[in-house]
Amino acid sequence: MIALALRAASDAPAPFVTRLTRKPDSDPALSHFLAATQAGSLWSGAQGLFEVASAAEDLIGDVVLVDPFEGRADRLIRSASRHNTLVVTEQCDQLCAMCSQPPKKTHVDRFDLLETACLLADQGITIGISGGEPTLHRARLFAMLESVLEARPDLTFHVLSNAQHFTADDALRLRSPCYRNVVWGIPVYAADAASHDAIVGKAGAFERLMVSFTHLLRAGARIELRTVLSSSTAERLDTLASFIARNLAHIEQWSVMGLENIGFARSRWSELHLDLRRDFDAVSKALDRAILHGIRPRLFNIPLCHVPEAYRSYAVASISDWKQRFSDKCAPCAARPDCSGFFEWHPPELVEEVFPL
Amino acid sequence: MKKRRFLISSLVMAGIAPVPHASMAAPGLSPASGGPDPDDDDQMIQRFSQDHMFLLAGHRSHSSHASHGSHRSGSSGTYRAPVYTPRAPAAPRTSAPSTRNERSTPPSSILPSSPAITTAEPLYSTPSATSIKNVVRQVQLGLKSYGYYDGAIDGIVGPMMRSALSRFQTDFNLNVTGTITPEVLDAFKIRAQ
Repeated sequence: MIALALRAASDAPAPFVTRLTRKPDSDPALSHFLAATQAGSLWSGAQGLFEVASAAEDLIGDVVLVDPFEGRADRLIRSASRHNTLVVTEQCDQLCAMCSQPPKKTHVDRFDLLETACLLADQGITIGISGGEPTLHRARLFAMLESVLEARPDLTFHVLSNAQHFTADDALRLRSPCYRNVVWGIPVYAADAASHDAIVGKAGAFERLMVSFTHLLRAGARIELRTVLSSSTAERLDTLASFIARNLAHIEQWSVMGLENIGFARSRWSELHLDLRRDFDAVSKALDRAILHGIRPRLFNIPLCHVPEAYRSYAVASISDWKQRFSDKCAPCAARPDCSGFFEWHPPELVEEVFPL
Repeated sequence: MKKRRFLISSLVMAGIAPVPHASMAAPGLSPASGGPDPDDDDQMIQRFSQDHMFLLAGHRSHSSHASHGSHRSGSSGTYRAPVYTPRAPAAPRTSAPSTRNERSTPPSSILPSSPAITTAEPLYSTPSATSIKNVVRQVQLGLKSYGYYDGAIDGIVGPMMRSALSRFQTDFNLNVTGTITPEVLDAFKIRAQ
């Protein structure tokens, strides 16, 4: 597991964002390596002096948020990683049964710092925006996306949203050309309101979701649908595939995702977990239907050896590098570079149940 | 003569590795005599001037970056990580780059000589023990000897030090931040290699 939050100390009077470089640079947004220290590495920049509990080599090129009061440095955007996600809020208006990051009541506005971070990102990367529910702070979010994309049209954003807040006015705003670089990742769990609402823990969520889809469709927004596989969603997956094919044919991708053993799902694991090596039928039916209707399905978070051979080409190495884990038995596997592996927090006994390809 | 030699060795014992002379950096090219001549006045000045250079453990090999590659999936497209050119090994600096105001009297010319030797608590420790506190302490000493700071040399940045930094930065035409910037480190010639 790659640590994203590191202990740090700084003389700065307020939190700041900077990019770490090897050599001094005249750009005040950058901080350069000063010395290796017992605790890690020492850096110097226009915002101040700071020490981070990690060797310099691992941090060069990273965009970090240094918080002198909390005594920590967050590696917001790691150079050479494809998995960089910024959490813009921890508030959420849904309470999904399998939520991996249960929401908090308070919101700390870090948009300005995150915007600075985006502007310092490597060329051409995709930056994930997550939460909580990012669109609870829609005005701030849209402003950030727009101003970053104006300065950095090479970047792409992937925003995870429950799509409970898009309005007709937003549809006009989202028509702006910069939103061609924004993909909205939106969860939908069932084709009927009762089942979807029960899973997301909010009455009326499905209805509101459909309203948002209309607005997003009018805006020509890029949409990725996401469905987390659990015992409760699997049996309705085929119906959902038909629903998507009929009503949401304009989406870019439908991601069918393995369950993450963290957050709310952890305590309900035995109830929610689906063993795909035994129960792939519901999934294969749904995938077949989606493919038949020209919907592009993808399987996320599922190790290749747990997917029947015919469907392996739909499985992607989706688990972020920092929380990805493999079994010792995976060592001889030829498919490992293309495999999602497991989440760091996957039940250990299940991680061992692999067979090298 | 004898005294000078003694000074050098006590500095080395205190953990301050002297700045290598050019002839040391390339031993194969130096004359038969080998190491630097201790009687060379220029060298002595260089060593005892306020150039607070301290040598630190070298970087680990850059090849360690290659490990990131294994996390990429086949669909990563054409994006490539920026390439960082490794720093050339041990080219000794002879003069500090001066980005600051040249008309002001440089701190190094009026600071008392070698506070490192006179303070009870060793300012410079072995390379592995370098820390943010050590550097803050050095800045505190610099500010103090300049009359900007009257607080403790404790390595902690408090309100007094912050205001001292701001006043120092204002007087020396530096960017006023109230923090220890690269300009401040340069002004006090605090440098890590």
